[in-house]
Amino acid sequence: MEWKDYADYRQEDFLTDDYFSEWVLRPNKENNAFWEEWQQLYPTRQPIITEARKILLSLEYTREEMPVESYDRIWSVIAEEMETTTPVRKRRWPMALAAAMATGIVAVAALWLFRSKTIPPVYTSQFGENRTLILPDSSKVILGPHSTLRLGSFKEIREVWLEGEAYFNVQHTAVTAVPFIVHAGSLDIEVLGTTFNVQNYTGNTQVVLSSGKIALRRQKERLIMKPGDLVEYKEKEEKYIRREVQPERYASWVKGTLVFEDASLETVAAQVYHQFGIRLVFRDSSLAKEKFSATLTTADQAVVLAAIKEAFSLELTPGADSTYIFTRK
Amino acid sequence: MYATSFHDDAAEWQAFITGNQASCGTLYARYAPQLYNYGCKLYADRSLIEDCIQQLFLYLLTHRSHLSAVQNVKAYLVKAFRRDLLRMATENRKQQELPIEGFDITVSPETQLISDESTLARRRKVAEEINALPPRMKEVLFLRFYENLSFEDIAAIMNIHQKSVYKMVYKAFDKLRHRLIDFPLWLAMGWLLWK
Repeated sequence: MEWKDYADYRQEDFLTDDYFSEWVLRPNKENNAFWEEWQQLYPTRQPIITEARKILLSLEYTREEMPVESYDRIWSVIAEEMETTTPVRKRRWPMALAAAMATGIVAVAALWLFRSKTIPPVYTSQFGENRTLILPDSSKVILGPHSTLRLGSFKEIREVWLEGEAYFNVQHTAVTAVPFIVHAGSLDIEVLGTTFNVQNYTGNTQVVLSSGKIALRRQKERLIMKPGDLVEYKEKEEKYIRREVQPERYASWVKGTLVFEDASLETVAAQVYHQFGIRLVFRDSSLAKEKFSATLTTADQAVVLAAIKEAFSLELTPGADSTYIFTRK
Repeated sequence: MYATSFHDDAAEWQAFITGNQASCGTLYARYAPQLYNYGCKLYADRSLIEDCIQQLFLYLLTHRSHLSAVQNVKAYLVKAFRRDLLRMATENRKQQELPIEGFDITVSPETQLISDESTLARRRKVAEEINALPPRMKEVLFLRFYENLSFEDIAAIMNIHQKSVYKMVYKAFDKLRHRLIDFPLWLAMGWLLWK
């Protein structure tokens, strides 16, 4: 992109320009640098840019949320269809063997068909919504906002896959110890009857153990956690951070309280995004690294926005598409 | 600057058409709510929208072995969904009614909370002008600036030329600018009269 290309742009030209709207609606380091420099090079064009920005940021839309019942009902129809259209895996066995063990195969096929009747469900929560789930083994899961929990077969092994955040209260199996495993990011969390919170909104997986005992596994590594431990796995650096915390603070979202403990504003933005579906943008990149601590009871989005604004005495400008822009005064 | 945990759409699609069941769930979780939101702006009948989402995913599922790789999964789904919804709506035209708000823009409660009086007045004026535009123009603005789809994708979705899409956006903003030039005067007059 050349600077001079924009020199004689009118307001409408900017508004129809991909790179310009990208900057206004989805700013990042690269486009911020470009447009800030451009404005310094062409100070006379600045009012046009400002006006065009304001207009784009005015384009706010109400979001119609899909009712959870409808979402689940349609999913169950799709999941059922998925079963009937799954190709039968007869061809995997050689013909000779198939002929020899005809009766056996019928039995196997019948068993397989019977097994596959139980469709592993996928549970999803929307922005700002918590869902309480009771798993087939009567373990309880409170699924955080904007999260997905996929269940395995729950036969020989109890397995779930998590994207987002969830609080687990895993039932201890009395007779034989059936392992319960939560897959989150590249971590596997192995459980034996316990309560803990898992979160991987930011790509990094964070586990906080409230009671009982769990083991984290990643490839060949194994790490045993004790109650009160927080372990965060940084996906990019491939390393663990471990510290002692008050576990109830990390499960406070279950009761509608938001707790931030020395969290970078970047992390806060990620959590707020999943909680309320709003995006926080920090104009100044050093701002994103600032640490924020607060306990917000009855936290709605206005409370959170106000708290951040006050804590760092920032200016808050609303943008399009539920974006909120924080600038240093 | 904000984090999302979304993986690569195209890879998810590839996994889906090669028979991975989990990716069907992922695509559903990701796109059903988005299509629902879009549908509600096209038609008022929520059950029709839900039927349409269900049929679309069932179609994809049963025909997945014949589907090819898709570069922009979102654009593909929005296009298919829009086409199906329009067809289903024409089929039972009798009960069909358009939503009151459609693709109107709004001044959200949060904006009202944190804006000063003059900013708010201006925002309302912008909303009034944009909302007075023809529905198709408003749909283009929604797809471009809310759904973040390219002019090319929008052209394919709405079955029009890419040039027309571009022109619509250009015209909408040109008209808005002319209306807003008179605005300060209009505001001052209103204020004097009110006094």
